[in-house]
Amino acid sequence: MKDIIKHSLKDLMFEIENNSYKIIEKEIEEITKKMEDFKEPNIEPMIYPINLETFELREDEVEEEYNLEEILKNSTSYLNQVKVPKVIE
Amino acid sequence: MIKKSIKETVKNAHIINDKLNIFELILESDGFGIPYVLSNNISTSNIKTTGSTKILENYFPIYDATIYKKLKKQGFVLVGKTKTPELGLTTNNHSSVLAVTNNVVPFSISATNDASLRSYNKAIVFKPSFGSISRHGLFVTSSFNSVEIQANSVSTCAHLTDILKGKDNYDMFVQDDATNYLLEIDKLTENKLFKNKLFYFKTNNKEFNDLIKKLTNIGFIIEEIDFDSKLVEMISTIHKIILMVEASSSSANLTGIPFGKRGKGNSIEDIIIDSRTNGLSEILKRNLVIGNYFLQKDNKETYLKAQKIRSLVVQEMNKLFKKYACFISPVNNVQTEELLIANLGGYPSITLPFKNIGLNITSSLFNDCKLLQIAYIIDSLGVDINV
Repeated sequence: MKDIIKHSLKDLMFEIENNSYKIIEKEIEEITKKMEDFKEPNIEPMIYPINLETFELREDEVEEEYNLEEILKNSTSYLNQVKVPKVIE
Repeated sequence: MIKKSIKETVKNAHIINDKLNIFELILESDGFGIPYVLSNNISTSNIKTTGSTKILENYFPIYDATIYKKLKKQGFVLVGKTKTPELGLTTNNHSSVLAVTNNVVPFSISATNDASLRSYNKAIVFKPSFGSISRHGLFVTSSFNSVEIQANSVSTCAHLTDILKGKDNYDMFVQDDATNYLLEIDKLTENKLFKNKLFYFKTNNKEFNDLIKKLTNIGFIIEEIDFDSKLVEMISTIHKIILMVEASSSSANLTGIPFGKRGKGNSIEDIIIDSRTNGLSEILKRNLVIGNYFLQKDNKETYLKAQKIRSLVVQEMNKLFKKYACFISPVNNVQTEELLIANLGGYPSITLPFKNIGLNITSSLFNDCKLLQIAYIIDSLGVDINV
């Protein structure tokens, strides 16, 4: 189970404290057991309360524009661009 | 910013000095100058909105949530943001309800994924149908996510729904709705309700039964249904699986790179890992791991099964809603399986406070009008039916 959790952590891109492994493991086991004890219904799974197929997509039109300064104010920026470490050697 | 908003409120209050009764104003003047609060997981441009998470501790959104935009247009004045569970995903927090019950503001609006606010038995809390009010600008959306209104009267909830509802290009589920909830609120057409045979908490059953008797005396027909207890007992488990699966995906944008508190590292990957490791709480991270676990190839059948059980619960409820207008259940500060049914089906649901307990009323999808009519009658007789 610890390896599976580690796999999840890689996907999720964060680390957890050592004591969290056991807590997560216990909770997953409890959930899995409860789910196994219930007979799977022969029914379509519900994704949203409203059926997505009945909706049309809107036109892809720009309605509101934001200026670059506004967008970048929440990030570490340099010369009007988001600054990140070098990715090409 | 909040000080500026308060100044605006006071200025506006002076302008409308002859109508200082804010409760009347909500109904009469479309909100001009009325103060309110939003939960801190609803986007408000240039006002710090943290979602109660460290990774967004200095985040200033660049856009307004649709609901905030609509309230601003009507002249309501935002005077504060209330604490929320971290990204609306962790433990309960009743700040937005307390702002109303302590008379700080006449109403507040929150974004929630569960029934924690409706489980509080001291205030009126209304969750409109999924697809009734736009969710654009709510942090970490899920298929349970909805806007909830906390107010001191049912008619205030109806009036705010009139203002907030309607088609929005940023939320594909929301459709136009021509109903005027406030005008229709006193035109009750149905009085047949149902309740579950079992209660999911052990206290105050007598008070709830007394309340039922009094509702029957004023003309409601209330029948008892024996729910499939095994199915009901699955509700919180499937809610948790589905919510955490969806949240593990929709919180993936919290990287600390384009916005949010940036961590340290020599590569983009290291920065993201450090930002998320230190920016998200341990409790939230555990929940997200559980969500991701059920998304993995070997475990996805459990997730699929949870969605099927959700279908089954909704199917059973929809059958009952063909016969009855609403489902009622007691509320006693505990998030019960019965309250979560509204999240599963996207149903409209309202909690009304009484002396020591609360009463929750839930109706079928898009039957918000019927629900508010019934709640209005019960609430307006509140003094008489207090137990």
